[in-house]
Amino acid sequence: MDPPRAERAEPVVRALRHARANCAALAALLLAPVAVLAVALAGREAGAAAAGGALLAVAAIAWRARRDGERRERTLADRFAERADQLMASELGYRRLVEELPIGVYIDATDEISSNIYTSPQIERLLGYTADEWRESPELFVDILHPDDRQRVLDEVARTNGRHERYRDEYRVLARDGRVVWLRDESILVVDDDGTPLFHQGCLIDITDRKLAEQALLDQQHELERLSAFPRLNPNPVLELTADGTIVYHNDAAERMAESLGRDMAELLPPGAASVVERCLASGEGARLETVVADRTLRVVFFPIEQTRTAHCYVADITERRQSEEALRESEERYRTLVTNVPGAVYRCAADGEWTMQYVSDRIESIAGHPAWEFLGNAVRAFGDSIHPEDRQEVEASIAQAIVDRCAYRAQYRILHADGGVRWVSEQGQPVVDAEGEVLWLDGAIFDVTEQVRAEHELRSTTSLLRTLIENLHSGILVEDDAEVLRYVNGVLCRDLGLVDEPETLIGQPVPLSSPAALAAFLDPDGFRAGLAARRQAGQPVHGEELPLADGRVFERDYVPIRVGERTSHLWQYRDITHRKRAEQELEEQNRQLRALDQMKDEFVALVSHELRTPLTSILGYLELLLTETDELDEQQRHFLGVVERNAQRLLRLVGDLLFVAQMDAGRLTLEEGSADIAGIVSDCVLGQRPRAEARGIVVDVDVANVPPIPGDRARLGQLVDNLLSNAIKFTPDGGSVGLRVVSAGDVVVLEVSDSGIGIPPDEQARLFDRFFRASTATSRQIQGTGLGLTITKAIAEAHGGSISFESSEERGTTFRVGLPAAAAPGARAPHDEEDIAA
Amino acid sequence: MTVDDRLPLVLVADDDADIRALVAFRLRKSGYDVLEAGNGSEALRLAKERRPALAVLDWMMPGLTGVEVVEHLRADPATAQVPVLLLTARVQEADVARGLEAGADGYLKKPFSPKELSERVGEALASGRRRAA
Repeated sequence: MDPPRAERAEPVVRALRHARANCAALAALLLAPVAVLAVALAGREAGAAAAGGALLAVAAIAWRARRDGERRERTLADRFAERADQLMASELGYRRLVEELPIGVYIDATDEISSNIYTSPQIERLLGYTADEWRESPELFVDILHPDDRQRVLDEVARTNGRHERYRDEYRVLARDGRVVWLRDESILVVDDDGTPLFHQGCLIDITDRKLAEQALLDQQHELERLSAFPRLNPNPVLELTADGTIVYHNDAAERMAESLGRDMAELLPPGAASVVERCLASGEGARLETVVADRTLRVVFFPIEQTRTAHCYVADITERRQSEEALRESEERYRTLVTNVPGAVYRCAADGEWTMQYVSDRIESIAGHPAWEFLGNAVRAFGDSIHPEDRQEVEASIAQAIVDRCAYRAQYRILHADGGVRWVSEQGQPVVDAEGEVLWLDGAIFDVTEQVRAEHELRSTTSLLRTLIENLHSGILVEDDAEVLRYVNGVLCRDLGLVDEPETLIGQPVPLSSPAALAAFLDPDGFRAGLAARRQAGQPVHGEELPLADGRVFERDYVPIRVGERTSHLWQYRDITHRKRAEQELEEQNRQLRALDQMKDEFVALVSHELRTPLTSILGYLELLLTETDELDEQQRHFLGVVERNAQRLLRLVGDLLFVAQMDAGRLTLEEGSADIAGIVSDCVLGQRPRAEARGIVVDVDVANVPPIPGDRARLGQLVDNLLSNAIKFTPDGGSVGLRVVSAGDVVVLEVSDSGIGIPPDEQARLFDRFFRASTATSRQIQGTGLGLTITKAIAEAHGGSISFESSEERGTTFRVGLPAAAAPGARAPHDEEDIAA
Repeated sequence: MTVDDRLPLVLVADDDADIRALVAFRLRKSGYDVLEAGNGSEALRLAKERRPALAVLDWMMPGLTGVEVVEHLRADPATAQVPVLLLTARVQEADVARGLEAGADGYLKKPFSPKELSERVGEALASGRRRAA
C-alpha cells in the first residue's frame, strides 16, 4: 500500500531541507499529534488504527498544502504559513499529549533510504536514540535491527515502500543499552489529493512483554505436549475418573495391574473414589488414599483437572514399601523404647570439643538437671560445659585418643548438675566412621554412677582406715583361704617371723608359715602345723593359744574363721607375748616369794602368840593359885598381886589384838558361826566392867530391849561390846556416865554406847578407825591404849555384815552406834575361806 | 576296867615345865593321880603303858604334837577311849577344828584358869565314864 520507505521519506526530507524554517512543515508535524491523540482516546490497537487515519488526514492536509506551495512557489507557502499560524494556538497542547502517549510515532520520507523526518520522544525513551540521531543517521534503523529479523524486515520494508499497502510487522531491535525490544511497527503511505505519495506515517509499540508471554505460552504448550505422552508410558497405572465415577481414561499399566490382581479396573481405586474426585474438584487440591486389593496395598493419588471436571488417579502398589515401613517403624519403636529404658543417657554427638549433641535421650535431665533439648545442637548449652572443669581435660584427651585410634572409649568423670551439686558419671562410647574411615559422629551412653562412686570412696576410705589400723597393730595378722593361699599378711607378722619378703609379694602365694624355714621358728613345728590344721578343721574361734618359739620367744595366737557365703577364710593373729610372759613369770615368782613371806609372817605371829601366851599362862595360872588356893596373903600382898594380874591380862589382850590384826591383814579373820544373844553379851560385859567404872564413880546405865538372838560369833561380838564399853569408861572422867542401849530397828539390831567423855576432835574423826591411831585428846591425857581397839571393833561389825558410826563433840562425849543384821546377810560370813588362805 | 577306889590317873603333857607343874599341882589338889610327860613321845608311851583315865595334852610340843598324840591314841583300840583335853595357845578356829577332828574331846585356850581346867577334867571324866558304861 505504501511506497518503499526510502522513497516515501524523500519528499519530506527535501521539503525540510529547502524550507527548514518553513512553518508549513512545522504545522504538518504538529498536526500529527492531534491524530495520535485521537488514537489514544479511541484506545487500544483498533482505536489506534482509526486514530492513525485521522492523523494521516491532518498530515495529508498539511503536506498537500506544502506541495501546493511548491507548485505555486511562495504563494502557497505563504498561505500554508498563514494556516499554520492559525493552528499555532492549539499546537502546544496537542504536542504535549502526543509525546506522553505510550506509542512512538515517526514520519519517514518515501525516498530510497526512508529518511526520517520525525521521531517522537517516546522512541528515544524506548530505544535510547535521540530524534537527531534518527534524522542524521539513515543507517541507524538497519543497524539496530535484531540480526535474526533484519533481512526479513528490510525485505518487507522494501516491498511496501511507496505503496499504498498497509505495512505491519513485528520485529526485534537492540536498544542503545543492549536490551532486546520487541516492536510492532505499523505504517501507511500518506498521499495528497492527487494520489501522489507524500510520506510514511507510522507508529511503534513496545510489545516485548507480550512477546515474552507468548514465548512462555509456547514453551508451556511444548511441555504439555511432552507430558501428555507420559500417562501412556507410565509403568504405574494412571486413570482418569469423572465425578460420577466413570473411568474415561486408563493406561496400559492399569490394565496390566487389574489383570494381575484378577480384579476389575474400577477396583484399583478405593471405594467412594467418585466422591473423592468431587471433593478434589471443589477444593482444587489433590488427595491421597490407600486401598487394599487382593492383599496388595495400593496408594492412589488424585489430581483434580478443572477443565475436564475429572481427576487423574495415579495408582502405586506400595505393599512392600508399607511392609518395610512397618518393619522400620516397629524397629524404631523398639529402639526408642530401648533408648528410653536404658538406665543412662544415650547420645549421638559431633566429634567436636563441645560434644554438640545431635541426639540425647531424656535421661540426661536426671543426670545433668537440664532437659535434653537444651543440649541438642548446643541450643542452650554445650554438653562439654557440664563436665566438671577439673575432669574435662582428661575426658577430652581420652575421647580424642579414641577418635584417633577409631576405638571405643570409656571415661568416669563429674557432671555439674543444675542443682549446683556434682554427679559422677560413667561414659562409654565409640566413634562411628563412614566407608572412607572418616569419623561421622560419636555414639555412646552416660550412666549416673554417683552412688557407686560414693560407696567406692567410702569403701576405699574404710579399707584404708582398716589397713592402717591393721598395719599399726602390735599383732601379726594373717588371712588365708581354704586352699591355704595367703590373702593378707601384715608387716608385723613378717618381721616377727623373720620373713624377708614384703607382705605384698607374699599375697596370693601359699601361706608362708607352711614352709619348713618358717616352721623351724617354732619350738614344736609338728605340733604347730597340727594345731593349724585342727583349728581350720574345727572352724571355731580360739583365743590366746601360747606358742613357744625355738629362740625363746613366746607367741600368743588367736584364730577366727571368716565365713562369706560358701567360702571360709581363716584369720590368724599372732602376738609376741615374750615380754608379758617374762613379766608374768617374774610376777609369779614374786607372788611365790610373797606367799612364802606371808607364810613366814603367819608362822611368826603364831609363834609369837604361842611364845607370849605360854609365859602368860604360867603367870596368870600361878597368880590364880596364889590368890585362890592360899589364905596366907595379907591385903597389901593381894593388892600387889592384883596389879600383876591386871597387867598380865592387859598384856594378854594386847597379844590377842595383835594376833587379830595380823589375821585381819592376812584376810583370815574368821567367825565362829552360831547364835549370839546380844542382851546376854551386853550384860556379861557390863558385869565384867562395872567394878572398874564404879571405882571411878562412873554410872553405867544399861537399857537393853528384848531383841532376838542374831547370827554371829558370840566371842567376837563380846569383844566388840567389850571394846566399846571399856573405851567409854576409859575416856569418861571420874563421876561421869556411860550408857548402853540395845534396840531392834526393823531387821537391824542397834547397839549404842555413849559416854560423857572427852570427845574426839573433829579434824581427827576421819582417822578414828585407822590402825594404831590415837586421838590427841587421849594421848594428851596419857590414857593408855594401842590404837587397835576401834580398828578391831569395826572389823568385827563389818565381818557380821554390819556397820559402825559415831557422833562426838569435844568435852561433851561420844556415842558409837553399831548396826548388826538381825538375819544372816549374804557375805556376812568369814571373808575368806581355806582356799584363799592356801593361795 | 577303871577301879573305883583308886584315884583317876590323868596324864599331863607339856614341854613347858612351869605349866606342866601348874596343871599337875591343880589336878593333884583336885584329887587326881597325875602322870607328867615333857613331850609328845613320852606322853604317848606313858598313855600306852599306864592307861590314864584322861590326858591333858599341850598342842605345841617338840617331836609329836598334842594332836598327833591324840591321833595315835585313837588309832590304838587300847587307848581309843581315853578322853583328851588339848591345851593350846593357838586360838584360830581352824586349829581348834583340827584338834577336835583328830579326836580330842575338848580344848582350853592358853592362858587358862587352873580352876576351870580342873572342872573341865572332872566333866570329861564323868562323860567318859558315861560313855564307857
